[in-house]
Amino acid sequence: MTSAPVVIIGAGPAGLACASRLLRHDRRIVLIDDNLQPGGQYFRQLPPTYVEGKKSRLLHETERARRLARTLEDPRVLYLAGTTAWACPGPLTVAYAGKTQTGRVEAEAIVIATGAYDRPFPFPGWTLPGVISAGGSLNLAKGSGLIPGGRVVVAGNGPLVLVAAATLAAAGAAITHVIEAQPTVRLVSRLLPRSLDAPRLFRKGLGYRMRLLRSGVRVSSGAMVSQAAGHGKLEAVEIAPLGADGRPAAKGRQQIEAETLVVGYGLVPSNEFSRLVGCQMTHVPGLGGWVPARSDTCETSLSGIYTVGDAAGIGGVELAILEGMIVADAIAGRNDQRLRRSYARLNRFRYALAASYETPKRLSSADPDTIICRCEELRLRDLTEAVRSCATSLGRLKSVTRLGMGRCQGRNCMVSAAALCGFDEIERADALPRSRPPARPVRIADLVQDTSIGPARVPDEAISPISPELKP
Amino acid sequence: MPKAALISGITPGPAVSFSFGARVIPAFSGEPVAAALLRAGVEGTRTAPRTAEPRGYYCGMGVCWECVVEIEGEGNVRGCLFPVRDGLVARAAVARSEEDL
Amino acid sequence: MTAHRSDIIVLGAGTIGLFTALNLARCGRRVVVLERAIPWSEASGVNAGSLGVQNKLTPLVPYAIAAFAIWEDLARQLGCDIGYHRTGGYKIAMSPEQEDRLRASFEAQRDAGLDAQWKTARELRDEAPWLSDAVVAASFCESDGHASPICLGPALVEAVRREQVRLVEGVQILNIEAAGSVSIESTGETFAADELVIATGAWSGRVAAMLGVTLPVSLDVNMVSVTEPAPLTVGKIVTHAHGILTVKQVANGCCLIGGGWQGIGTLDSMAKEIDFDQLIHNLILARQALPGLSRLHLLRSWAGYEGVSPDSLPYLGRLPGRDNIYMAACARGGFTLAPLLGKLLAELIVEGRASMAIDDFNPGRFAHA
Repeated sequence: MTSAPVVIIGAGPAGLACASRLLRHDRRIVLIDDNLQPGGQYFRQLPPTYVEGKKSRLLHETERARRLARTLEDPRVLYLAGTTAWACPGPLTVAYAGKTQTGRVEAEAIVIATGAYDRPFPFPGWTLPGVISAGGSLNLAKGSGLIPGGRVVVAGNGPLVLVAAATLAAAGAAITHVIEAQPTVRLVSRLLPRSLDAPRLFRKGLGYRMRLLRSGVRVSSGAMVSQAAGHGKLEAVEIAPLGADGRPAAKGRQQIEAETLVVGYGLVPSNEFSRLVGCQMTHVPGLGGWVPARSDTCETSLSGIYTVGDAAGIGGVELAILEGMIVADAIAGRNDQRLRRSYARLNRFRYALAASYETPKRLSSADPDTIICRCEELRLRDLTEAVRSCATSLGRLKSVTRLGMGRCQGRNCMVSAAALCGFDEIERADALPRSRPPARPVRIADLVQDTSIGPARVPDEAISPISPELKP
Repeated sequence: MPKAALISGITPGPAVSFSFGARVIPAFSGEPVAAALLRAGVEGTRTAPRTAEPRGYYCGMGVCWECVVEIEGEGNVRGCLFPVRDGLVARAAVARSEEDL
Repeated sequence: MTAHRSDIIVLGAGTIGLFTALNLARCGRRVVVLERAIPWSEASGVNAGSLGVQNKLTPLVPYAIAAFAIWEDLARQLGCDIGYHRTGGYKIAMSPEQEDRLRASFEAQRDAGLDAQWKTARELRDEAPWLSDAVVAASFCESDGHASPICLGPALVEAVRREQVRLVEGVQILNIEAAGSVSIESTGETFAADELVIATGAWSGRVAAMLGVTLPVSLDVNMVSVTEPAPLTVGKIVTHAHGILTVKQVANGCCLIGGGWQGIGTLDSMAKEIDFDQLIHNLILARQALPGLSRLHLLRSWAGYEGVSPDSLPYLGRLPGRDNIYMAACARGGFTLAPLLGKLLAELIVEGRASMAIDDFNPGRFAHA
């Protein structure tokens, strides 16, 4: 057993699977997660005070979640919940801060398992209360045991749409419409040939669709959200056929009264930590965008730093778990061929799934008045005006407009702004504005608790004005 | 949205309450503040400073910060992650000056 | 290839270079500004926006006051909001030793023409309850304030272009000839002019060396942090008796924390990395002075370069032994002083003398060292 632990950032499926597997190799582990309970998004748990009965209508996996969470009870695991890994002060040192613990840990290896978040898809009215993301609807259900109120419309493009819709429907939400952008015929014809790579996943996906149809929900495709409307809250959703240019077609629009709109137009790998520590990045559309370049053992360009799960490329829970295990083996100098073979198949399927949702033109429903940066309240016209006058790069656009400078630090706006302002055709990693510490917002009260900091090098005061010998 | 509802078959934690501005919000101990607000039918939980638009719960996982609320003794927290405890005093997260809003 | 001809070439599109170019163009000179990378991308673009008189060395007080007179009208001149707020500022002391130091600079600055008032602990508790009890005294000056580098940059670039100044980005200089007339060879065009202004901030030592002049410039890598928006509470900017802390709350509620705590980087590496230990020390100090900062989330920290002369006074004037090469750089408080420095240098170039004494800023003053 080595002296330094493996530090895993993120206690979702990938992080937990990695930890579990590392215990088999008798490693010590420090697992750091922002949330108060483990599970990430897929295995998000109800509050600890809640009890789920046998007749619970919440569709979620509990058995695997429980099994993985039990890893945290092992004495070799230090689980830091409600704690943010915010920087790497040294090549294999992780600084963390939170209400109950702040400090640093030297690692044998670092595993970045920070998951993904909903891709921002701006459209007129998307900031109205009542419009929530697909991930947001699932987190509401799994993390709080709630279904959204009123009539619910679910719209988007990607596997999460049906997962969200089916979960909400099963839980009793009043889903009136489910609208997928990719025409079902195209989706199925692309995916079916690759279904043998992951027959269970394929059936699972089909299962969500069947569940919805059986419950009488209207599932349609070839359409997208064009706008949301209401006074202070959502009251109606407008849907339009998918235009040839990827924008809502002018003709054939439909108004749907609704109180909740669930939107899911894809996921974005959470790469802020990887970029912060200096991993070389690569742009892979099939993986959801910018991800760290990795070896076949999931190691990044930085020796001893690995990344797994959705943070390394959108791929879902099964891939995340596999990668977590593969990395654990790699750190221990092992290699399990069965894992590799499963991985190869699932990896192929993952790309096929992503490709099956690709539309001829990138989808967008934003118009010049649409808010793009929600935190700073910047509209598309503010951004295009800045591009026109002086902003020749995304970084410059940010400096000039304050895009991405709010609390979300660009997570809910950078990728959409890049696409809408024509900056994402650039495939150079240095086109991305720098990721700076802290990796996520951290309270100053928590940061200053770090007792392992070295002595202060108080900045040189400007030469004392009354010291005569310094005059030339 | 009109009130969010507890999913059938789930027994929540003990009933408690907290305040959000002038309102008293019934809640279950341990549920995220944002969830309790949704169950109480509170539409927007803050106002965007420049456009004066209402904002509320969106991503549910602590990324977007739309659900930010200010909790006495804590400062600004993400409502979707912060668990309710009895007697908590919360208010809409205020940016800039009171007069601006 | 024929050279691009102008009257004056200005090297560096930071705040000093741009204000100089603006003033020269308004005097009728044809100006071209050559920028190594992107305008406003170094110290000018990443500083915390302090506009201070109190945090300047005593010899700079009259200049800061004169700069403020320009700042007062700048937004109107540029035709847009530059986030200029003359809030007033407290320069604080948090120990008896700091109080002594503060008293000395307070007296010296008042003698130099600054209108400032001494504040006792009791007065501070009363008028600035957001300052901690650890602040034992402060000097208050109405003139201190802040502006937004983010707003000023594009506005200044726009103003400079409106005056027909040609601004060239991404210029890699291969050679500078300046005996008689000026010729600058780059990887792209060649530029020719009668006179040259070096306004290259932290790079000024290197540029001077290309002309055979030794100009001592050391590199500071200053860290700045920003918090989430908060209710407007901190009504004045805060600086420190030892110059090691600045805190201000800007219009959108965010608090900017600085003070010159050093990050890690060199001009060769172009690295501008955070020194995490020193960052936390900066935050500890900030919190000691303004306890209300504790609850706020830190959103982001960054670092930027600043060139500094050995006596921390600006370089402003002719390069030693050269009639047609001028320098304006390393002002250590350049964001505040730039509007004035640009004006003074333009006066020197166009009229032969500046309207304020600039002998103390002679670029050749360390030649004997």
